Amino acid sequence: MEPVKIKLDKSNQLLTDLMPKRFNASGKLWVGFLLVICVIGFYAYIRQLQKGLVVTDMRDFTSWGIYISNFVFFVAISLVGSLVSAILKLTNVKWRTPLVRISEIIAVAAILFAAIIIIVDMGRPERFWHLFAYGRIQSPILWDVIVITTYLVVSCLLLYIPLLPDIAICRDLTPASSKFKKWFYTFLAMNWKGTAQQYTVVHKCINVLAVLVVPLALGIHTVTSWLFATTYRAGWDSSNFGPYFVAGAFQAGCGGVLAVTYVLRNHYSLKKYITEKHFDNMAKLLVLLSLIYLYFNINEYLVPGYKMKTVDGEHLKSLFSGHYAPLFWSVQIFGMILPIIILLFKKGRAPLPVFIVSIMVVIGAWFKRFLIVVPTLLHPFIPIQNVPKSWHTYMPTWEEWAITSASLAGALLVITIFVRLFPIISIWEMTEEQTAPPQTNEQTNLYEAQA
Amino acid sequence: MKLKLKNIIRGAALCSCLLAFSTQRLSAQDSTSTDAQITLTFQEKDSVKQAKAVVTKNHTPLKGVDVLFAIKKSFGSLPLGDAVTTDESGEAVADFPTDIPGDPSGNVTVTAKVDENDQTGELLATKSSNWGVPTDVKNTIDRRALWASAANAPIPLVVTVVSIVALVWGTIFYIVFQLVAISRFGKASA
Repeated sequence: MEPVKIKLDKSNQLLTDLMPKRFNASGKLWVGFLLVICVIGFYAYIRQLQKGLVVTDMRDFTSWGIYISNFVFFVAISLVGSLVSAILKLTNVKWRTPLVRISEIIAVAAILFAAIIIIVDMGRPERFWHLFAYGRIQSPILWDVIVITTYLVVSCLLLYIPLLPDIAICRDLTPASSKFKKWFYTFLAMNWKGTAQQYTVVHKCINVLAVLVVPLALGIHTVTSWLFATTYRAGWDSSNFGPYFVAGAFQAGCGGVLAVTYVLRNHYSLKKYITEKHFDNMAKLLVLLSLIYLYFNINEYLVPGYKMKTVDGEHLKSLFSGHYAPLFWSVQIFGMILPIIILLFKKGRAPLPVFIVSIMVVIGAWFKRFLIVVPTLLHPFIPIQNVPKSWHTYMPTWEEWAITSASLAGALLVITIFVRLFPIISIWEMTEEQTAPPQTNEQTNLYEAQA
Repeated sequence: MKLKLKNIIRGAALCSCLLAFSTQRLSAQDSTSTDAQITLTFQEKDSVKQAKAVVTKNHTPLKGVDVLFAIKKSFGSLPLGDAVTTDESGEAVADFPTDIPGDPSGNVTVTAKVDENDQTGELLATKSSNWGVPTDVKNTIDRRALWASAANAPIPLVVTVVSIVALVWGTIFYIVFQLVAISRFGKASA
């Protein structure tokens, strides 16, 4: 494989446009805002450690609250890494290049905080290692621990290996006076010199990882769904849960990458690289994914709704017309129906409408997980009786909201710091595309951008 | 300081009173339990197996006391019919069924109990017998099953999980070795 020749001088527009930039005032404000949320969340977690899970509103019946909803949300969002960097790669979609790194860092940040939030949900977090030491291989919880750890490692590799040539650029362009920065990039660049052999290995690794990450991504969310589906509870007892979760995850992840892409595109003036065509294509993909998710939603509600077994009936009534109806219908309409309708129109697929729709999808996705977790727990087979009245409902405490918000802020902080340190669009892959002869029918993003 | 001492003396006095009171109560209870007694024996009469309880108070047989015979099970007890009232000699006899499952050697634990009674209070006698039907209970926890302990996981499941983990992590290690190769190629070209 021919090595990619990258000019390391000011004449290279790609370097000027794509190299990481210092935070401006709004950037610093954003980081400060995220840090404040993280600190408040940390304080709340210290309180939870001191007093125990009693500071939450989780009790005998609602033993899984917004922590687990948030965990499922993070796992869902993390699937976007495999969607853009693997599925679109294996299907030979050329326009994906500027979106790959954004998707991968979202995947890494999301899966990292999915793992963290599970530990937060533990009453005795110091016993976390018991999962590995005493875990039963028959338990889906152990499968989830294994698959999450594996997916985190593979996502990190899928982010890091294609980043190597760009880290080397950062290393070479960092002045010797910035000693720590220079050492940091030199350490991470792993002696990258841009030789043909090195590029061959990088391409080989990316291909292997792209194949590996697809079944892993399907596995991670299927196993997460089994945490619910292997339990005989109203709303969870479904053989459909694996594909239902995977479909929802791809939809949420697609929304997530579109939202982050829009912000980065505007903040770092990347319109030349992330074009309207990217939003148009990704929006079409989002429509497809939303339609698939809608199909699974109909299955999940129509079939038990037709039979209306006692507990299923109570659960469905609470969603459709009861306590959770406003939230349920908001999620279905704003998180799925409206996005499908808006994105079907060409004007709806312009960057700003797509951004607004993607935010709707992401918020809808978060509350959808809440609706999957909590109402079921409040509808056990044996009626709730002879317990304090507060146990009949679940309303997260401020500690739960603070910790959950901190986890979301933490994930965004990881993405923000990454963007500060590394090029968010792959410089070497863009150079490779620029220097490669244009292909017959498939246009690369730059040619599309110029058009 | 004076106040403090006063409080300590008061506290000590209160504790002594409480201790004396509780000791008195305890000895009263002890005396009741030593007065009345129940003994349990087994006998065979005309090839019918029977459990016999004798209730006495101050070594004198008590008549008209209801005795409930039962067999201890894993959880709770299995009553051997209704309560049997003691006769003049203080004896209550219950027939022992021939089909009671016991442990692998046929051992069962029989209890004879007098519930709250004015003359005797609560009495309980327990005795083991080998009159049960020897039963070899298969412990499902010891079998290889999904619900068993970690050491007894089903072999196909273990093989499947270990194979998948080995395959995926083998690939991950291969990628890590490739990273080492990238570093080596870089050093070589320097």
